[in-house]
Amino acid sequence: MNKYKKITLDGLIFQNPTFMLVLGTCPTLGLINSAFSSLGMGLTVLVVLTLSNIIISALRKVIPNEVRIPCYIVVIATLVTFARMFLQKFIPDLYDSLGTFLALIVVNCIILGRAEAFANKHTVLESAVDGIANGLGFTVALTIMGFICEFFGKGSLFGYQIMDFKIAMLTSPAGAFLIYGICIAVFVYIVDGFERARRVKANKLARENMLKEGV
Amino acid sequence: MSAKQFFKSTAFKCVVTLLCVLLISGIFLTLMNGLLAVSEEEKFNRQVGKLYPDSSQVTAELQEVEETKVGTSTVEKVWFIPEKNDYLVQIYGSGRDGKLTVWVIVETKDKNVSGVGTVLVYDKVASEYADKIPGWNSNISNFSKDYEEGIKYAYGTKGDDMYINTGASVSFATVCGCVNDAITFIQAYASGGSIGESPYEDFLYNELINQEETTVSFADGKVTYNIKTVAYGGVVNPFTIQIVVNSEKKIESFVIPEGGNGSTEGFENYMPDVQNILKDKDLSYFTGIYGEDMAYTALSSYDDTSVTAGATTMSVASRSTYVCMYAGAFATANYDNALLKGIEYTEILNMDNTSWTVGEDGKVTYNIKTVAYGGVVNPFTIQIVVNSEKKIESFVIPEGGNGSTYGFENSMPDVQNILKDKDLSYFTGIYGEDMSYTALSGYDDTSVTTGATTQSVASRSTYVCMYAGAFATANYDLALLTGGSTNE
Repeated sequence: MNKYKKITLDGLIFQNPTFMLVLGTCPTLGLINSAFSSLGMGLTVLVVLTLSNIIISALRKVIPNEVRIPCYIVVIATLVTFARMFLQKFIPDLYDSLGTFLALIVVNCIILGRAEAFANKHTVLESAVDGIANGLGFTVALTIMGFICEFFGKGSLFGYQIMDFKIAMLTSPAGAFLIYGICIAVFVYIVDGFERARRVKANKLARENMLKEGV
Repeated sequence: MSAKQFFKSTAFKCVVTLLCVLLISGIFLTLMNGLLAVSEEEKFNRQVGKLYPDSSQVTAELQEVEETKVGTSTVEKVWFIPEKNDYLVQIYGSGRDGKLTVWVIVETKDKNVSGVGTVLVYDKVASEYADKIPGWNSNISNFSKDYEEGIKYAYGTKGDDMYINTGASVSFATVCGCVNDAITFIQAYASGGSIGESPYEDFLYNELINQEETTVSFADGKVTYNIKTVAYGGVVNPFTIQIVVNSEKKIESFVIPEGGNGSTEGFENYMPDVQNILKDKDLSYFTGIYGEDMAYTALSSYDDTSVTAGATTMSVASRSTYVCMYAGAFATANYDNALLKGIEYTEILNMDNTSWTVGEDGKVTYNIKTVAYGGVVNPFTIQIVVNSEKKIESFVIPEGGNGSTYGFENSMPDVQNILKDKDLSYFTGIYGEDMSYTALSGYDDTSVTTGATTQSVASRSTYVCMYAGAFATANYDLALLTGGSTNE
């Protein structure tokens, strides 16, 4: 498989940071009671993750191994601060809705994790693709859960009231945990199903090849 | 390790790398801050914009308004929003234990208040109940739709729980007070008027007293208060209490007129006892007890109640009792202030620098300082002694005269003589500068007519002297009661 395709699929599905690796739980549970906040947080993390991967990958041969973690954190913190300034200037509503979780992106495990596990070992382009893929995976996961919690918890979507029926528990942290767990279970079930189908198909192909070669 | 070895070592590379990363990050953020910084004005306008969710950008122009006490609240700042012709008022009041700051949008039309827009709690200090209760925000939104000209917001009348938030009733009552006071302030401000000074601003225990509707009168050495209370605690509506305080500064009578105090439950049972408890009490009964502990002090004499902190109004009507106790404290604490309120003829006198002493022979010696008057009379001093017959025994303008520009020195000795042995009847019924013509009409060589200048008969200076004489004779009884004043 083309390596960029593999990096993309891993970030989006097979190693989805939210559903498969269960990383970045703090903003996930804090913001999924609003679809707008979830989407906003996801896109912000996407941008920070991509840029941090690019910069760290570009500096991977310059930064000594002994100080790599402090350097990564300085880079990530700088990007998060820049993101805060940008949002406060141009998208104040999103800035207000993200609140303290915006600053907490600095210690988001996804960003530091990908920097340490991928960006400092791969090229700039590969790291950029990895950042975009993982960021998109995080964004999609958060937005899906935000949709569910806001729709069933408040009867609205992106602030627009759709229906009067509400399950108030879903807007609380307990409800967020519940939806998170259910989404993980459903996602893993679906991915496992695909994996199984893929393995069956690969085994079938291998048997056919063996038969052709007369083994 | 040599210097060359050190500069090639890993430690040095680590330090340099880290410093470079920090430096570049710092420079980048400094540049970005310069480009993307949001000014305080922009932040504030965004906050104001949230008060108008259906509108695009609004601007708020800060008005030159000093911190002003209005009713039970204090106006801190006022902005004018030209796009909407509204005023944004930042106003604070006291909650149960802390301070609530409220933003109120007051709508105006043709320089008159026409409605109330958004109301929100802007800040709260130690008012932990302020937004704990569900429904708080929906009740706050009622201010806008329930506005009626001339009608003050109340947190609910008996049986009507529209505004009552159980558990936050005092805080919500504070918000109601802030909204009412903001309307009062803007009504005066928008029309170019001014807020009148609260008549009992310098009185003690005035927070629960409706200062505009409370009156004080004085007769026979007793002060009669007709007190109108403010709404309190989410369950006690405004009501009237009549208190008479005698010359010993004790409560002679304490009466709640028929109709009770308008509370929701049960105070009517305790009302007669509370009235009796407060008879013959003076300020020492209330001193050192704060807040609703006052109610427990009063009620602890009951055998059939269990008075504990947090007792509800349904069990012992503690909030209604507290208001009554507070009114009693107000009445006894301000006996002297109330007397001073009864002083007459003060307009052209400098009351801050006027004093009097009471002699053992019943004579009151006044040291009166006047204000500048009429553009020609400078402030000056007059010493007047009024005897027990309430007549002027001596009237002296000390050497140096009255500081007027022309000619009063010639008539001064005669004015002093004219006023000897005069009592209040000499001054009664004559107003303004006619007083001076009354005095001067005894001269043979003057032609006293309206408009006479000081150059001819020093009529303005004479008027001031006459006015001082009226002050001294009219306030003899009050002066005796107060026992003297040490104002300088």
